[in-house]
Amino acid sequence: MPPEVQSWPSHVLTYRASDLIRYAAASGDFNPIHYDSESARSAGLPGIVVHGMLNMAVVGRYLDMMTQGRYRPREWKARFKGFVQPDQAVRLDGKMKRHDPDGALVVAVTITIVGEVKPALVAEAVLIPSTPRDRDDG
Amino acid sequence: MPSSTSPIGLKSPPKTHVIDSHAIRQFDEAIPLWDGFEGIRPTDSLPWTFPVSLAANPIEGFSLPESGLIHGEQRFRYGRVLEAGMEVTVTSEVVSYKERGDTAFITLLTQGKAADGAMVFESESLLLAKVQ
Repeated sequence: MPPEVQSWPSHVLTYRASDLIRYAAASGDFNPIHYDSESARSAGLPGIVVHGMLNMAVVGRYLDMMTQGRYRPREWKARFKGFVQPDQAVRLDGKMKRHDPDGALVVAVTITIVGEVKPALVAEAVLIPSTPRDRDDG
Repeated sequence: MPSSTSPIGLKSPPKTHVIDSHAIRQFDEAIPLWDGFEGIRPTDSLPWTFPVSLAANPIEGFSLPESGLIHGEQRFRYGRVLEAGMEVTVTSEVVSYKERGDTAFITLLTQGKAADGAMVFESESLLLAKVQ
């Protein structure tokens, strides 16, 4: 990514209930609040909610695609500040905060429910260039 | 969950995973893409959060409530690059535990190490639970 690029395009995504089941199977996170409405409601939620870690996985994919696989994280974190439900459109926004002299990129991404102001997820990552061994240029 | 004895320092017995390429693909395919990008997989990068699928053994003497558990924050640090066929030994430890009112703030640190002891990943999860 050229250093002059300060922010990436925003993208909109709507999770389906089937996405949550697929993620539960792949990650091993079978907490019923992610697929069973009754369990979700008895936990005080309005209905089933998206795994926070699925939102974080989407952020990782977004950063990977925005940097075309040329960077990988050295470290990153996400704060889960609100719940996202299936069939609710969310927007991904990302920007580059800093390009360090050692080649690391510091970037920030948020996931916000469309129509709301406060993000449901706030992430920050320190990315380092992928070595040729890490990626396939083909 | 104990509210009188501190669980800080309790650790799971190590669990060794052999990284399976099918599990990587299954995890990769479970991450939906945003509108207009469905079906596009332009990079071959390992999904960054894949280590969450490498579960640790239970921590003896410590259990999390089944309901009302909230994931507040998640951090990852990475060392050696994960790839299919690698052996990774995973342990999980309670590194912080605080109670404020009826809420417990628990930090679990999960570490993945390669067969030669090299750090592969560290995953730190801040969980919020109702004190029982």
